[in-house]
Amino acid sequence: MATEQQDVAAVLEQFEKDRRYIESHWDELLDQHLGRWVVVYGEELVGEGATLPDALDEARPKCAIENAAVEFITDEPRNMLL
Amino acid sequence: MSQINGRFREQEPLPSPLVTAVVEIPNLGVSASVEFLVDTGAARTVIHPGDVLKFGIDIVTYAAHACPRTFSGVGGEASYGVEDAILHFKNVKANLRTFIGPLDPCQFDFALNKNVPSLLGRDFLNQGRLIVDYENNELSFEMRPAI
Repeated sequence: MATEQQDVAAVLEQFEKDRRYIESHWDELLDQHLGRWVVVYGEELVGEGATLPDALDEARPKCAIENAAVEFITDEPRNMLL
Repeated sequence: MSQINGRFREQEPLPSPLVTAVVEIPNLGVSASVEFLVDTGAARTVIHPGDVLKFGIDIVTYAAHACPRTFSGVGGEASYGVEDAILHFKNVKANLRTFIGPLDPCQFDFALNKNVPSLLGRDFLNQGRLIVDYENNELSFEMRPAI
């Protein structure tokens, strides 16, 4: 399981692309998946569901979910005090 | 090179400073990619529910064996499991004690439903020089060299 540092850059590069994919396709995701969780890997939607476990179950056969980008699609602005 | 570069998530009313890392937790035999909110208000680095599930951790099973520690926040108190982790950034590797939770299933579900992000706290950020310059679109962190 030990993570090789030379692999990290490639994994993170893809992960960041997938995070950006969600942001750049936000309006489309809002139209089609409002109130649901989505899983993106390889800049493709690979899973979605009413709960995150459901979305991960759908995505699991298609990708390495530990490196996928996940997001709850909501039209409520994220205003958090943490 | 010991610099970590992050970015701002622009689609929010007030854009969030974010950095990504592959987080490895040897004791649990798991690793996952995590997007952290850079949070100088958080004392500790915390892995929150959306990412906990990506690690494949079942919180009920984990809570039964975890070494819990309680923290206070604006939402009240919550217990987290303590785990030694390795954070792999693109150019930096750091050992850090991280906190997984909340362990209480009700609080876990609440944080999951609110999509609460994982937090990169001062336990990490105080080890170097953090620049958060939204005006110039610069989010960077330079690790202090080990003595």
